[in-house]
Amino acid sequence: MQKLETKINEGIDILYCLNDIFEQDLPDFSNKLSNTFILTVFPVLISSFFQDFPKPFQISINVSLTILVHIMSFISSPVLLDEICKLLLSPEVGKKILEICQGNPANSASEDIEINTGELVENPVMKSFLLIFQEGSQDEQMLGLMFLQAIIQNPAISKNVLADLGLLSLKYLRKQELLSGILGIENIKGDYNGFLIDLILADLSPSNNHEFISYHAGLKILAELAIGPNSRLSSKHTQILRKLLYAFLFELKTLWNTELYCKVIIEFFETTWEQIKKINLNAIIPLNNFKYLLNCKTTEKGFRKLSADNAFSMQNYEKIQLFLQVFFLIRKILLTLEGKDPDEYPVQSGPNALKRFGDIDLSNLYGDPVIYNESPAVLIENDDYFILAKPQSPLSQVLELEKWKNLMVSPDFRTSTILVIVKRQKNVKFCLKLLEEHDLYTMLSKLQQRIQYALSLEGELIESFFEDICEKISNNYLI
Amino acid sequence: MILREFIEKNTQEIMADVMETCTNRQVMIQLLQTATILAHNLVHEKHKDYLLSSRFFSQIISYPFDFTDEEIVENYMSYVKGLAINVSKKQLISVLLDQNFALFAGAMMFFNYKDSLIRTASRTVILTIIKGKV
Repeated sequence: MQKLETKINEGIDILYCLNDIFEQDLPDFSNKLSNTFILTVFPVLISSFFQDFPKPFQISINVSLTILVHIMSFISSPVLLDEICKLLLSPEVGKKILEICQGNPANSASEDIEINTGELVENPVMKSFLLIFQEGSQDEQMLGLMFLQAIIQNPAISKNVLADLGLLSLKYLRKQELLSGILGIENIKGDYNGFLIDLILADLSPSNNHEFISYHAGLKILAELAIGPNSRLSSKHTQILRKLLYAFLFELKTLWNTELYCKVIIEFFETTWEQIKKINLNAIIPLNNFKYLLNCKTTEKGFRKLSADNAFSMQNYEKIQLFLQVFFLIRKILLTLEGKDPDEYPVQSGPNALKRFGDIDLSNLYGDPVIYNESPAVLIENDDYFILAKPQSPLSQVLELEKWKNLMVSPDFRTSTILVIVKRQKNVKFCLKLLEEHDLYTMLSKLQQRIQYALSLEGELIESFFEDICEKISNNYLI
Repeated sequence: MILREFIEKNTQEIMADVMETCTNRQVMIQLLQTATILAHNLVHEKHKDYLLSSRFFSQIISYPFDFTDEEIVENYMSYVKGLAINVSKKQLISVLLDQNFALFAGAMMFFNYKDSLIRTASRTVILTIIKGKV
């Protein structure tokens, strides 16, 4: 695996070097270099999409798509980028370029070839590429999505080409509208590629068991093309998106009915929401992992082909995390479409948090005296938070603050202390020594009850939230 | 003063003769290292012009060293990179045109070399030459 990564990184280095040359603004030299690249590399890259003609130099679709993703991500030669876009996505393509891709790689490029003249023919490469989203393996589909994402994000691709393919981002269109009004420049218009979005949304079903990166890439493409201040997502696709949200919610509700998975959902709920909140749908999703290039098998004819069953078996708790991630991401997109704030936590389980090292008024609160860090402290009675404060009156400084649902407790009978541990954070724990040894069991039971109560309350609120979403979708209300 | 001695004694001619006649590996490496030091440390344009037009510097770029020897490759690339970076654009263009792009060809030989440092040096030289818009 390490050797494979090294080789791929070396290849990417060469692409970066080529791009450094393209960026020198030498049109003649860049065109010559692009011409040579097309003649020598395109037959190898694109040949994997010609299913009927296996050749000795043919590479797998996975490797081809990986290289194409990297090319589209940072190469700045419009000559190359436009041709790749048209080859993979345009229903018709120049006869000359297709002949080049179907032929053998050139040993040299002594002649300049005009690839944009001549007749247009039906494009078999596009059909093969789009078939990936219906019949390809999970890795192939993921790479296909990453490829599309890279196209939408690369500013060097000609805007006319993107407009023809229906892949102009909404941000760009909005900017053009504003500039055309101010500067009088041409306003490129065009609708987004509905057929492609149909394929992508059909691919994002929870039953397909993709990794999160695939769902993220698919939804990001949708967001880039159609969602923003002046969203242009069709009602058909909005409805499909709502159905997708329901599908993930259904999976979560099915798992919810099991006590074990119910606890897991509660445990992951807030942290997953925080994770999705931080996702910026305009940011590029990098392709860093090369593990999808492995897993190949030899067919009966001895032709190496990537496995279509890159089985990605997950434990159910990983599934829960995935379903929650995708559910929150789709919900975030739908809320943005509806003009609502997607960053508001959906489940309110208590008043706004106090701040650690802030002050708290003890005059109307009850608490248990404990020893914390060798000093007296008070464990405040509170349904939502574990609050340790200094025993001062009336205003007391808050020493430690944590939600009950994030905690576990464990007794140390030898030293008569209770260890309060924060889940999923290493080495974060509070050691509480009791004033009276016989209070240990009482205090332990009290803390355990508080944690259990907080978890139950959180569970009820989450269940209620899920039901609310279900009802809204069923009745076609806004989320 | 040392450079004046170097020029007066026509040292570069002696070095060129040694390079042509000697087959000793250590001598070749030393010649390359000397060339690198000169390329890196000369400041005045006239001194650089003198060296670039000398027989030794003209021949060393295209000399058929034993490039199966990794140490020779390292020293060669070190010299080529030092030359490309430390001369002016005008001097670089002059070197390229006078020597039929031997410097470019010399760097291209190692574009895909197994050692990453050599590869990087090679690509740096190529990019420097291209940036010169020859």
